[in-house]
Amino acid sequence: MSNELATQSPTACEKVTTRLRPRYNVSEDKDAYTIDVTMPGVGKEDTVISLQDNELLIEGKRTAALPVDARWLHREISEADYHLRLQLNIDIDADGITANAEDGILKIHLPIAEAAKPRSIRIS
Amino acid sequence: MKLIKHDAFFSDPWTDLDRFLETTLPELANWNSLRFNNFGRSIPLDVYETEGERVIRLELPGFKRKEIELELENSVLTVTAERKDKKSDSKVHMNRSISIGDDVDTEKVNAELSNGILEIHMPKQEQAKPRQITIK
Repeated sequence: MSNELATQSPTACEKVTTRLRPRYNVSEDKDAYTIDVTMPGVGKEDTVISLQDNELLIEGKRTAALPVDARWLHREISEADYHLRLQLNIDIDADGITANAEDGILKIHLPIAEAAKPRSIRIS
Repeated sequence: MKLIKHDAFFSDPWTDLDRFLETTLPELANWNSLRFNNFGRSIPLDVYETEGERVIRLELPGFKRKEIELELENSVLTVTAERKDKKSDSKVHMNRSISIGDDVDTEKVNAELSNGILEIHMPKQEQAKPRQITIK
Protein backbone atom coordinates (compact mmCIF):
# COMPACT_ATOMS: atom_id res chain seq x y z
CA MET A 1 0.00 0.00 0.00
CA SER A 2 2.66 2.48 1.05
CA ASN A 3 4.71 1.40 -1.91
CA GLU A 4 1.89 2.30 -4.24
CA LEU A 5 1.66 5.80 -2.85
CA ALA A 6 5.35 6.38 -3.17
CA THR A 7 5.53 5.44 -6.81
CA GLN A 8 2.71 7.73 -7.83
CA SER A 9 4.06 10.61 -9.85
CA PRO A 10 3.39 14.10 -8.49
CA THR A 11 1.78 15.23 -11.74
CA ALA A 12 -0.85 12.52 -11.51
CA CYS A 13 -1.80 13.77 -8.08
CA GLU A 14 -2.02 17.38 -9.11
CA LYS A 15 -4.34 16.75 -12.02
CA VAL A 16 -7.82 17.78 -11.04
CA THR A 17 -10.45 15.49 -12.42
CA THR A 18 -13.62 17.46 -12.09
CA ARG A 19 -16.61 16.50 -14.15
CA LEU A 20 -19.56 18.51 -15.18
CA ARG A 21 -22.97 16.94 -15.48
CA PRO A 22 -24.47 18.35 -18.65
CA ARG A 23 -28.10 19.35 -18.92
CA TYR A 24 -30.25 17.07 -20.97
CA ASN A 25 -33.74 16.72 -22.34
CA VAL A 26 -35.58 13.56 -23.27
CA SER A 27 -38.29 13.54 -25.88
CA GLU A 28 -40.44 10.59 -26.73
CA ASP A 29 -41.64 9.25 -30.02
CA LYS A 30 -43.71 6.22 -30.96
CA ASP A 31 -40.72 3.95 -31.52
CA ALA A 32 -37.73 5.94 -30.35
CA TYR A 33 -36.44 8.28 -27.70
CA THR A 34 -34.25 11.28 -28.33
CA ILE A 35 -31.90 12.69 -25.74
CA ASP A 36 -30.50 16.18 -26.28
CA VAL A 37 -27.37 16.76 -24.24
CA THR A 38 -26.04 20.31 -23.99
CA MET A 39 -22.26 20.20 -24.21
CA PRO A 40 -20.88 23.46 -25.59
CA GLY A 41 -17.24 23.28 -26.60
CA VAL A 42 -17.31 19.59 -27.44
CA GLY A 43 -17.20 18.36 -31.01
CA LYS A 44 -18.28 14.98 -32.27
CA GLU A 45 -14.70 13.69 -32.33
CA ASP A 46 -14.40 14.34 -28.58
CA THR A 47 -17.65 12.66 -27.62
CA VAL A 48 -17.94 9.05 -26.52
CA ILE A 49 -21.30 7.34 -26.10
CA SER A 50 -21.56 3.84 -24.73
CA LEU A 51 -24.40 1.58 -23.69
CA GLN A 52 -23.85 -1.31 -21.33
CA ASP A 53 -26.38 -3.17 -19.23
CA ASN A 54 -29.01 -0.51 -19.84
CA GLU A 55 -26.64 2.16 -18.69
CA LEU A 56 -25.98 4.94 -21.12
CA LEU A 57 -22.73 6.78 -20.59
CA ILE A 58 -21.99 10.03 -22.36
CA GLU A 59 -18.60 11.65 -22.10
CA GLY A 60 -17.44 14.84 -23.72
CA LYS A 61 -13.89 16.10 -23.62
CA ARG A 62 -13.04 19.75 -23.94
CA THR A 63 -10.06 20.34 -26.11
CA ALA A 64 -10.02 24.11 -26.55
CA ALA A 65 -6.40 25.03 -25.95
CA LEU A 66 -5.07 28.42 -24.99
CA PRO A 67 -2.13 30.07 -26.73
CA VAL A 68 1.07 29.72 -24.72
CA ASP A 69 1.38 33.41 -23.90
CA ALA A 70 -2.29 33.85 -22.97
CA ARG A 71 -3.34 35.51 -19.74
CA TRP A 72 -6.83 35.13 -18.24
CA LEU A 73 -8.75 38.32 -17.70
CA HIS A 74 -12.08 36.82 -16.74
CA ARG A 75 -13.41 33.30 -16.32
CA GLU A 76 -16.88 31.84 -16.13
CA ILE A 77 -16.83 28.78 -18.35
CA SER A 78 -15.83 25.58 -16.61
CA GLU A 79 -12.87 23.62 -17.88
CA ALA A 80 -14.27 20.31 -16.67
CA ASP A 81 -15.13 17.51 -19.05
CA TYR A 82 -18.76 16.46 -19.36
CA HIS A 83 -19.92 13.20 -17.88
CA LEU A 84 -23.46 11.88 -17.87
CA ARG A 85 -24.54 8.46 -16.71
CA LEU A 86 -28.15 7.48 -17.28
CA GLN A 87 -29.91 4.31 -16.19
CA LEU A 88 -32.34 3.32 -18.90
CA ASN A 89 -35.65 1.80 -18.00
CA ILE A 90 -36.55 0.54 -21.45
CA ASP A 91 -34.74 -1.92 -23.71
CA ILE A 92 -33.01 -0.12 -26.51
CA ASP A 93 -31.99 -1.51 -29.86
CA ALA A 94 -28.27 -0.96 -29.32
CA ASP A 95 -27.37 -1.41 -33.00
CA GLY A 96 -29.84 1.22 -34.04
CA ILE A 97 -28.46 4.03 -31.88
CA THR A 98 -27.44 7.06 -33.86
CA ALA A 99 -26.12 10.40 -32.69
CA ASN A 100 -25.12 13.70 -34.11
CA ALA A 101 -23.47 16.75 -32.61
CA GLU A 102 -24.37 20.20 -33.78
CA ASP A 103 -23.80 23.64 -32.25
CA GLY A 104 -22.75 22.16 -28.94
CA ILE A 105 -25.82 19.95 -28.61
CA LEU A 106 -25.50 16.20 -28.86
CA LYS A 107 -28.63 14.47 -30.12
CA ILE A 108 -28.86 10.75 -29.38
CA HIS A 109 -31.52 8.72 -31.11
CA LEU A 110 -32.45 5.58 -29.16
CA PRO A 111 -34.80 3.19 -30.96
CA ILE A 112 -36.90 1.04 -28.68
CA ALA A 113 -36.14 -2.67 -28.98
CA GLU A 114 -38.84 -4.69 -30.73
CA ALA A 115 -39.36 -6.83 -27.63
CA ALA A 116 -40.06 -3.77 -25.50
CA LYS A 117 -42.72 -2.32 -27.79
CA PRO A 118 -46.34 -2.77 -26.82
CA ARG A 119 -47.82 -5.62 -28.81
CA SER A 120 -51.39 -5.94 -29.86
CA ILE A 121 -52.74 -9.43 -29.50
CA ARG A 122 -55.36 -10.65 -31.88
CA ILE A 123 -58.16 -12.70 -30.41
CA SER A 124 -58.72 -15.83 -32.34
CA MET B 1 -43.18 4.61 -19.29
CA LYS B 2 -40.19 6.77 -18.62
CA LEU B 3 -36.93 6.15 -20.37
CA ILE B 4 -34.61 7.22 -17.57
CA LYS B 5 -34.74 5.36 -14.32
CA HIS B 6 -34.22 7.21 -11.13
CA ASP B 7 -30.45 7.20 -10.99
CA ALA B 8 -28.84 5.12 -8.31
CA PHE B 9 -27.07 7.27 -5.78
CA PHE B 10 -23.91 5.24 -5.88
CA SER B 11 -23.45 5.31 -9.61
CA ASP B 12 -23.57 9.09 -9.78
CA PRO B 13 -23.62 10.80 -6.40
CA TRP B 14 -24.52 14.21 -7.80
CA THR B 15 -27.73 13.12 -9.45
CA ASP B 16 -30.01 13.47 -6.48
CA LEU B 17 -28.54 16.76 -5.47
CA ASP B 18 -28.88 18.07 -9.02
CA ARG B 19 -32.46 16.96 -9.22
CA PHE B 20 -33.27 18.47 -5.86
CA LEU B 21 -31.76 21.80 -6.86
CA GLU B 22 -33.41 21.85 -10.25
CA THR B 23 -36.86 21.24 -8.85
CA THR B 24 -36.71 23.42 -5.77
CA LEU B 25 -34.48 26.30 -6.81
CA PRO B 26 -34.09 26.39 -10.59
CA GLU B 27 -32.19 29.66 -10.54
CA LEU B 28 -29.73 28.30 -7.99
CA ALA B 29 -29.17 25.13 -9.98
CA ASN B 30 -27.80 27.29 -12.76
CA TRP B 31 -25.37 28.74 -10.26
CA ASN B 32 -22.68 29.46 -12.80
CA SER B 33 -24.56 32.54 -13.91
CA LEU B 34 -25.68 33.38 -10.42
CA ARG B 35 -22.14 33.45 -9.19
CA PHE B 36 -21.19 36.13 -11.63
CA ASN B 37 -24.07 38.36 -10.83
CA ASN B 38 -26.06 37.70 -13.95
CA PHE B 39 -29.47 36.66 -12.83
CA GLY B 40 -31.77 34.96 -15.24
CA ARG B 41 -30.71 34.07 -18.70
CA SER B 42 -27.27 35.25 -19.53
CA ILE B 43 -24.36 34.03 -21.56
CA PRO B 44 -21.31 32.68 -19.69
CA LEU B 45 -18.05 34.00 -21.05
CA ASP B 46 -14.27 33.79 -20.76
CA VAL B 47 -11.81 36.53 -21.66
CA TYR B 48 -8.11 36.12 -22.22
CA GLU B 49 -5.41 38.11 -23.90
CA THR B 50 -2.15 37.48 -25.63
CA GLU B 51 0.44 39.95 -26.78
CA GLY B 52 -1.38 40.71 -29.99
CA GLU B 53 -5.06 40.23 -29.25
CA ARG B 54 -7.84 39.93 -26.72
CA VAL B 55 -10.23 37.00 -27.08
CA ILE B 56 -13.76 36.56 -25.74
CA ARG B 57 -15.33 33.10 -25.64
CA LEU B 58 -19.06 32.77 -25.13
CA GLU B 59 -21.12 29.65 -24.52
CA LEU B 60 -24.09 29.63 -26.90
CA PRO B 61 -25.21 26.03 -27.32
CA GLY B 62 -27.98 25.44 -29.83
CA PHE B 63 -27.64 28.74 -31.62
CA LYS B 64 -26.99 29.01 -35.34
CA ARG B 65 -24.79 31.67 -36.85
CA LYS B 66 -27.71 33.71 -38.18
CA GLU B 67 -29.38 33.73 -34.77
CA ILE B 68 -26.50 35.60 -33.16
CA GLU B 69 -25.93 39.31 -33.53
CA LEU B 70 -22.79 41.22 -32.59
CA GLU B 71 -22.64 44.95 -32.12
CA LEU B 72 -19.68 47.08 -31.23
CA GLU B 73 -20.21 50.63 -30.07
CA ASN B 74 -17.98 52.89 -27.97
CA SER B 75 -15.74 49.96 -26.92
CA VAL B 76 -18.76 48.00 -25.69
CA LEU B 77 -19.48 44.71 -27.39
CA THR B 78 -23.05 43.44 -27.23
CA VAL B 79 -23.92 39.87 -28.11
CA THR B 80 -27.59 39.11 -28.72
CA ALA B 81 -28.84 35.62 -29.43
CA GLU B 82 -32.41 34.69 -30.17
CA ARG B 83 -34.00 31.47 -31.34
CA LYS B 84 -37.35 29.81 -31.34
CA ASP B 85 -37.92 27.09 -28.82
CA LYS B 86 -39.00 24.01 -30.71
CA LYS B 87 -41.38 22.68 -28.08
CA SER B 88 -43.21 25.77 -27.00
CA ASP B 89 -43.65 28.57 -29.49
CA SER B 90 -41.82 30.99 -27.24
CA LYS B 91 -38.49 32.58 -28.04
CA VAL B 92 -35.23 32.04 -26.22
CA HIS B 93 -33.54 35.39 -25.87
CA MET B 94 -30.14 36.05 -24.35
CA ASN B 95 -27.86 39.01 -24.41
CA ARG B 96 -24.74 40.27 -22.81
CA SER B 97 -22.56 43.36 -23.06
CA ILE B 98 -18.91 43.62 -22.23
CA SER B 99 -16.43 46.47 -22.26
CA ILE B 100 -13.51 45.52 -24.48
CA GLY B 101 -11.04 48.31 -23.77
CA ASP B 102 -10.00 51.12 -26.07
CA ASP B 103 -6.83 49.61 -27.48
CA VAL B 104 -8.67 47.23 -29.80
CA ASP B 105 -8.55 47.70 -33.53
CA THR B 106 -12.31 47.63 -34.11
CA GLU B 107 -11.93 47.22 -37.86
CA LYS B 108 -10.19 43.89 -37.45
CA VAL B 109 -12.53 42.24 -34.95
CA ASN B 110 -13.68 38.84 -36.17
CA ALA B 111 -15.82 36.06 -34.74
CA GLU B 112 -16.09 32.33 -35.21
CA LEU B 113 -18.76 29.89 -34.05
CA SER B 114 -17.94 26.26 -33.46
CA ASN B 115 -19.60 23.58 -31.30
CA GLY B 116 -21.73 26.15 -29.53
CA ILE B 117 -18.80 28.36 -28.56
CA LEU B 118 -18.53 31.82 -30.08
CA GLU B 119 -14.98 33.07 -30.17
CA ILE B 120 -14.39 36.75 -30.82
CA HIS B 121 -10.87 37.79 -31.71
CA MET B 122 -9.96 41.41 -31.18
CA PRO B 123 -6.52 42.39 -32.39
CA LYS B 124 -4.89 45.16 -30.38
CA GLN B 125 -4.01 48.40 -32.03
CA GLU B 126 -0.41 48.92 -32.84
CA GLN B 127 1.14 51.31 -30.38
CA ALA B 128 1.47 54.79 -31.77
CA LYS B 129 5.08 55.07 -32.70
CA PRO B 130 6.98 58.27 -31.88
CA ARG B 131 7.27 60.22 -35.06
CA GLN B 132 10.60 61.56 -36.18
CA ILE B 133 10.53 65.06 -37.65
CA THR B 134 13.35 66.06 -39.90
CA ILE B 135 14.49 69.68 -40.00
CA LYS B 136 14.61 71.15 -43.41
